Amino acid sequence: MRPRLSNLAPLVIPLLLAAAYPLLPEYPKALAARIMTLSIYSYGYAVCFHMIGVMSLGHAALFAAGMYGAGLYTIHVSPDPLMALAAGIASAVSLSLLLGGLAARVRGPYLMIATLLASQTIYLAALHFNEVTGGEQGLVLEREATLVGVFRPLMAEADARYFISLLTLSAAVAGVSLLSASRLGKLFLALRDDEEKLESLGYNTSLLKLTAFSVSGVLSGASGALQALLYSYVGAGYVGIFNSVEPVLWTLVGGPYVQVGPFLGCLLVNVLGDLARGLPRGHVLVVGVGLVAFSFATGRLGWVYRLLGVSRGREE
Amino acid sequence: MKNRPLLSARRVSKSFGGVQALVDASIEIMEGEILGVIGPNGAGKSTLAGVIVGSLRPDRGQIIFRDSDITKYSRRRRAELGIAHTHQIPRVFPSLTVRENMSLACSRGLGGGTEDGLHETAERLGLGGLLSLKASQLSHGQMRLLEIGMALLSSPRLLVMDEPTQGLAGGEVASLSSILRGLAGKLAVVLIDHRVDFVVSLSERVAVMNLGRFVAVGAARGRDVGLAIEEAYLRWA
Ligand SMILES: Nc1ncnc2c1ncn2[C@@H]1O[C@H](COP(=O)(O)OP(=O)(O)OP(=O)(O)O)[C@@H](O)[C@H]1O
Ligand SMILES: [Mg+2]
Repeated sequence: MRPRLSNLAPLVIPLLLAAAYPLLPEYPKALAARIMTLSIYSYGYAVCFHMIGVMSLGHAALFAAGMYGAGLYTIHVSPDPLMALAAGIASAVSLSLLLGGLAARVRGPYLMIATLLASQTIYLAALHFNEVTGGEQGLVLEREATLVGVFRPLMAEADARYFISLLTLSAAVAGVSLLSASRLGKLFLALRDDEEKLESLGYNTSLLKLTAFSVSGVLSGASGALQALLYSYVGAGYVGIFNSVEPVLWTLVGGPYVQVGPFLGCLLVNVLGDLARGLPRGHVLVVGVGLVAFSFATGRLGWVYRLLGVSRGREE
Repeated sequence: MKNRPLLSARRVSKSFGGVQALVDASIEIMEGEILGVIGPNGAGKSTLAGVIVGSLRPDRGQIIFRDSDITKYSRRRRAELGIAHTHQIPRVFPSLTVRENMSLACSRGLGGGTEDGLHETAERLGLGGLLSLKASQLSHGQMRLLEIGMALLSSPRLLVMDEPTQGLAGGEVASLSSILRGLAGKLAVVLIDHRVDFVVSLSERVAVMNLGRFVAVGAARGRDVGLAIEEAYLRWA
């Protein structure tokens, strides 16, 4: 159960994205950068959803903790983007321990409600303390203090967004791929398969859940922090229920292959969403049905993924 | 060491709603012995297994393991003490390979399971050629053997086996017999099974259960046990 170099095959995704860069016109490039940032959140969600089989409806809180952590650090502590990224990740991880603690106590629909309430609490707090958070309006960070600001002497903002999110996404893909091949990854799957059996072998399943949630917190928080540090904006608009449900959709659409699914799902949903924006309502419905059909199909795409050397996370 | 009880259940009762699955049941399992448990459907055998391994909390009574009261211990703490369980309906991790399943069990319990031990156990259970297969692809009997292998790899002091021969082919039962015989004296086994000849041939003592009670406990081939088995099954039939 030691990870091998071949486990890094899913890195073809970031490589393709890097290769696509010179070919992309301005708008698709910006959209791709945005999707890469968000798909790090998608990977974070998949760690809980596909690896340990726990469905949370509160992950927006982790994204938000990363975003506010990085944003408020930049404004109030120091305009150092790397430290701000670390602060964002650290706040998300602390909060993920809370969600993980809930997951260790309650299950299924109860957990969904508990995590939903937890993230709604964060949402309401963000609205209530609006002199700190900027409330619904949000706060605009000074460009110079963010990652795009730091890279401005070297490259245009759009390029900085593209490459920084690509770099972070690559790290996320590599991390998740190695994790799922590791002993810990196998324990996560075992936890999802049969928690009681795992416990009766002597494993501490609560600790395993906390571990999975903190990994999820690192990724979701990094995504939120990048939102602040690449787009120079933080706001309560990213904390609502919708933002907790979105990664559910991404990871469902992307299918159970945790190394590539979270990106593909996020890509597909966002590209279709972007195309659908200009369409009349009826067409949006067609897109929705298409998504549902696709998410069913991903369960049948085992042979494609096997060709790519990707192992599946979830057994049907 | 054989005369010291490794585990005792003292006047244990457990009911589910109106059903009394265990009624003041008391039994001792000695160090290193194989204790057979026989009884008709619904006699309370699996419930007994549950209260020993900690998946069920008794309503009354105590479970004592090596002189300490473990009645309130979680399943995990009991596993750490060296109590292992194979289920009546086998439970393994379907998304993991046979090797991964076994490997997760290796380092647990009292530890000591090694890569060599894993291969040897797999061979003996006839799973040697299946190590890279997903457990979900195994037959029912193979899953059962895998769960048994996992339990053995955790080097338990006490192994509670709930109907290990159910769904096994004749050859598989024979190799399970020889494995259990090879373990004699090294660990204690509570061997619950409906195959009377299998249980009697392997156990020193047999306990006969009916309606939540032990109706006879004694030498496996003794007269008391023989009569009790006959009566329990006859009355039930
Ligand atoms: N979880 C449960 N909920 C309700 N009733 C239960 C439960 N578990 C066991 N029982 C009842 O308790 C009684 C004893 O069941 P138990 O499973 O211990 O019997 P058993 O001896 O293992 O039978 P079998 O040979 O069929 O496995 C039965 O009447 C059964 O219906
Ligand atoms: Mg039973």
